[in-house]
Amino acid sequence: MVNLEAKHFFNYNRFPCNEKAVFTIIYAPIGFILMVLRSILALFIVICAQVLPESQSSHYLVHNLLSFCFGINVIVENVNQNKNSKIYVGNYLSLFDHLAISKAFGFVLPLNNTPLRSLPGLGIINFGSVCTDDFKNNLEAVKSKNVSLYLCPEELPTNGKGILKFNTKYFEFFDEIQPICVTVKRPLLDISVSTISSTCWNDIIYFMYSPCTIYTIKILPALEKKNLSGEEFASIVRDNIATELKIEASSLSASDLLEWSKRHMLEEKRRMQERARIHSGGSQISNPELERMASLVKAVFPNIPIVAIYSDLAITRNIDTTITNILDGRVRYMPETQRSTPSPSASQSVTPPAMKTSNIPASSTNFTQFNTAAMSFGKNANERTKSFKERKEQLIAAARRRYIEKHNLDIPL
Amino acid sequence: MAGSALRRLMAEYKQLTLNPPEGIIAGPINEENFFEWEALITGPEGTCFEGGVFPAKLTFPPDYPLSPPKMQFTCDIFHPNIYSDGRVCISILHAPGDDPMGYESSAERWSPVQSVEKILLSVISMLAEPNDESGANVDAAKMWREDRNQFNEIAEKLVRKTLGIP
Repeated sequence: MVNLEAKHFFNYNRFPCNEKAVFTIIYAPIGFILMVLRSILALFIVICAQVLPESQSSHYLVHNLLSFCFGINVIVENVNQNKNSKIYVGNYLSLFDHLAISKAFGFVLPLNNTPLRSLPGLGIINFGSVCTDDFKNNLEAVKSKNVSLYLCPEELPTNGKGILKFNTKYFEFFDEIQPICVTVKRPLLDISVSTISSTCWNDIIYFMYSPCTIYTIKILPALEKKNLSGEEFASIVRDNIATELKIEASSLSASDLLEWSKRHMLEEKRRMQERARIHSGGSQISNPELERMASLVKAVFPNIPIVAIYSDLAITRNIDTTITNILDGRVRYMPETQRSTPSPSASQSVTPPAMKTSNIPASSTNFTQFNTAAMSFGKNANERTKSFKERKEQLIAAARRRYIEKHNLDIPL
Repeated sequence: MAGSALRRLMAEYKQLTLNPPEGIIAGPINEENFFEWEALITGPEGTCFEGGVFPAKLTFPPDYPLSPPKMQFTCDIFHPNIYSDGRVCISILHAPGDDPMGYESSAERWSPVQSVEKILLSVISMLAEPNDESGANVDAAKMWREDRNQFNEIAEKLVRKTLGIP
């Protein structure tokens, strides 16, 4: 089994990029109408829920109607295993996992965060963080009312490729647990339930846009804690779910994934900005070969903005020519301040050496002031080497003469 | 990258030929090998090395300017920041992170925006003001700190030697 990394736990595209993409386009108008109708209905249901009496059966009805609005269908496997436990534990896949569980087993209260939590009249309460006393008190209150609970101890929805580390604190509170395996799919269109960049509102909209979202729930044999510790119990539950789903029990936790996704999004944002800058710089459409060459030149001249390099490369199409152009000062740019490497010396030298002095006329064969400049830069190697040798000799001779004159030595010059 | 290294070296050679800083000459010893240069550096005025013309060899890596060149004096030299075999120990010749002596600030490190001209100017200012914390030549550093007169005498001798004056 492959070792899963953080990047494997996310979807990146909402829509499939395969042959089904055609369906997606054809479906778009239907999806849009469906979305509008469903959102009107959902609004209506939520308003009605306010006037219904606070009871489990009415909450069950509201949850079922909402499942209908969100196009949630449920298939249950191994029904005979269900011992009607009070706590179901499953893998976390989407915002509305708990609606599917409710639909299958009667009203369950999600222990995890859900966007429906802020709506009154749905019977959903905020349990608070698992470490707090609030959580304990809320849990006691719910237990006394004999309400079923649904817990996703992963604490973060994934794409279901693997199962994250459980928050084992939850397992201190329960003695018997009904593990369940959840899989979710959207047939025909393959629209992802969630993507790395999506917000909860995006996901809700796509629930309504998709023709339906099918949850398959497989009930596993109930497990008893007996005298195991919370941690041991959690790992048994996790292994059971992972084995049944044939997915890897990853060593990553929800916070690892959050951290990674945050970094990934920042990186992505930076890349977009860079690309936008290149485009606004009046260059051509992005060209991977040109980008590759630009990054090579950028490595040579870290202080020159990529836009300037890019626009020169677009003309020259040659790394060496562009490097020469930069050195000869033919590339115009606003110097970039360097942030990545802490090198003040680099900021002093925003102009390559060739640009600083190239407009000073090279003249002077006068060697008395230690000026070693040549009249011209030879056209071929021989000329240059000859000039180089001559100038070396001249420099040494001039230095010698000066030294002798200065110290009034009695040596022939 | 050897192509861009050559381009860049050629551009720097041209620059140093037409507009060199005072008292400096640098260029390839033989253009068949553009990665081996010779440089002449004039000792800065008002210092013990005043008037001397010190030859040094610059060796460029194939991935220049991403990596810094190496510099080694080919004449006798006695200086706190120069090893006795002539190798120059100066921060501009070290890439950031590569710090053999462990006390260099991250400022003034090698980066591709540096150049041969900058290196040679840095070496001149190093001749004028040795960094006596650097232990490239411990004897020289000690003498520089404790017996400046003797140091100056040795420097004077070295200057004469480079000029062929007995």
